[in-house]
Amino acid sequence: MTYLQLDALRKHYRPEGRLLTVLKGVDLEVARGELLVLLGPSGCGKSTLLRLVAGIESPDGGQILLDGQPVSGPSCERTLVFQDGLLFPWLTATENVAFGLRAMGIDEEERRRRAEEELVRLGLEGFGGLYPHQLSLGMRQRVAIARALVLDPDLLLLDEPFAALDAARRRQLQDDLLTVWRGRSLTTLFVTHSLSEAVLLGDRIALLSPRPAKVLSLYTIDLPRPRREHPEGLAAWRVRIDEELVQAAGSINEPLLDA
Amino acid sequence: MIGSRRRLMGLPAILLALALWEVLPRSGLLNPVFMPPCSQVAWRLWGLLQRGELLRHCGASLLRVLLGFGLAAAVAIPLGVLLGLHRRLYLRLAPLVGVLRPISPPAWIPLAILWFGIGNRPAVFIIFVGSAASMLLGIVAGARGMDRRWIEASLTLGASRKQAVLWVVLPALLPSVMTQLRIGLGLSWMAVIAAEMVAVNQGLGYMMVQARNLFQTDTVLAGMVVVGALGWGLDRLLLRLERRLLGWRAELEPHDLLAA
Repeated sequence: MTYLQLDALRKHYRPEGRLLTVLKGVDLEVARGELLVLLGPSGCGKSTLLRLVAGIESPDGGQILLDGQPVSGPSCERTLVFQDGLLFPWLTATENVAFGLRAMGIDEEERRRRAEEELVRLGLEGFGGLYPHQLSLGMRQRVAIARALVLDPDLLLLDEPFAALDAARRRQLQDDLLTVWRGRSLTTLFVTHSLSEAVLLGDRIALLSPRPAKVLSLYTIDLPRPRREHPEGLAAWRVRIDEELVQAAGSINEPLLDA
Repeated sequence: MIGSRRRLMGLPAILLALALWEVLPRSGLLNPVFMPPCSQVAWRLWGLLQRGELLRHCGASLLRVLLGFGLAAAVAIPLGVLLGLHRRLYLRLAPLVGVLRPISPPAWIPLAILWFGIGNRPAVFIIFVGSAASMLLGIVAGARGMDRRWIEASLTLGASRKQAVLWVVLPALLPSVMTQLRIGLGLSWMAVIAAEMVAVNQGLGYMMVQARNLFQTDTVLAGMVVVGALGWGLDRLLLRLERRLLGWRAELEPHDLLAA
């Protein structure tokens, strides 16, 4: 059953008066509870796509439907985790996680309890009183994910959340995200430019073309989880998608701005 | 303690300046009539303090600064945030403020006296115009330079626009607001001395002009010392407040590039 539907989605910007088409008719359907990875080269418009679904920006054409209802403006039911976490530096980890609960009008004691629970779930027990600058990059990213999950959103939007982490940290966070994710029926859009991350995480992968982005192919990754136990299956999928990825990137030398 | 040792590091330069100030006039290299030695100025300072004159002048100057600067901050902070977050309003008003800012406080004196007569009111007005525009533009720059994704993050977490302003924009702007307040207070303190050189009968600026008319160079210099010390003290007060309010920031160490 389709939960999120993107219908001929278009978006362009006009830097210095010239036309820059970022999305050129993106069609996509996401089922409820699905983890869909948007895989594409850097700068292809993946982040823009997430921002449109989050409601931070509006499309120039086409529409975004959630349960058949058009999306208008941001909402805590579609929370976005930014690439660098974007914690509020003047709030402690707990206060950051509690931010959305505060906006909901939940009283202080209750939101503190729920925020701390969520931090524990993401392996940050005892760190709640620290400020972002006192936390490592990986911990900050965990706080950012906790801050989104504590709101119990219908749709979680993750914009390359692990891109800045080293391999070990990244692996831990991927596994922890999957654990947390499995416990809920959470529809997730996960943006990445890493093929191995896409194959590891996604129920399905939407391969995007270089800018202007459109969906080139959809893959249903039928490997059982936990997938790290099936390295040969992961490798086979990587090879298969990689070929098309290279073909898609063939047109990379197009000019940045349209004439 | 490291903090107190750091503070003492500035002492030798001050002592050296005081020593030169003492020796140069006494040795005849500087004319002591125009540049009386440090000890004579200190003695004069002590006399002014004992007669209660100095406290009266300081009090008058501080009161004017408090009023003028308070008024300027009360206008510049909210207006600065508003202009920083409202592009069209900014485009409409920025050129006007940009033209007003370079008009130095003394340039406002004739108008201030015509409009407000004599006494505190023209002085407060001069301090206001001397500090408000600069603070305003500084806060606007801070608001425009703020990472707007913080606002977006707050909106996707369910905050309303009002909550985004109260819970995100204001704390995010606090560092630049504090910086602007310190700059503004410094400008106010400079403006008050200029303002007091006309149309008032007390205040440090008045004291210095009177002394010059009577050729009491030591009182002029005593006034300058007090102006410098009080201005420094006011800045330290704001710095303390800033450290208290911005405890969440990583402590920044100045770069030591040229020290190696």
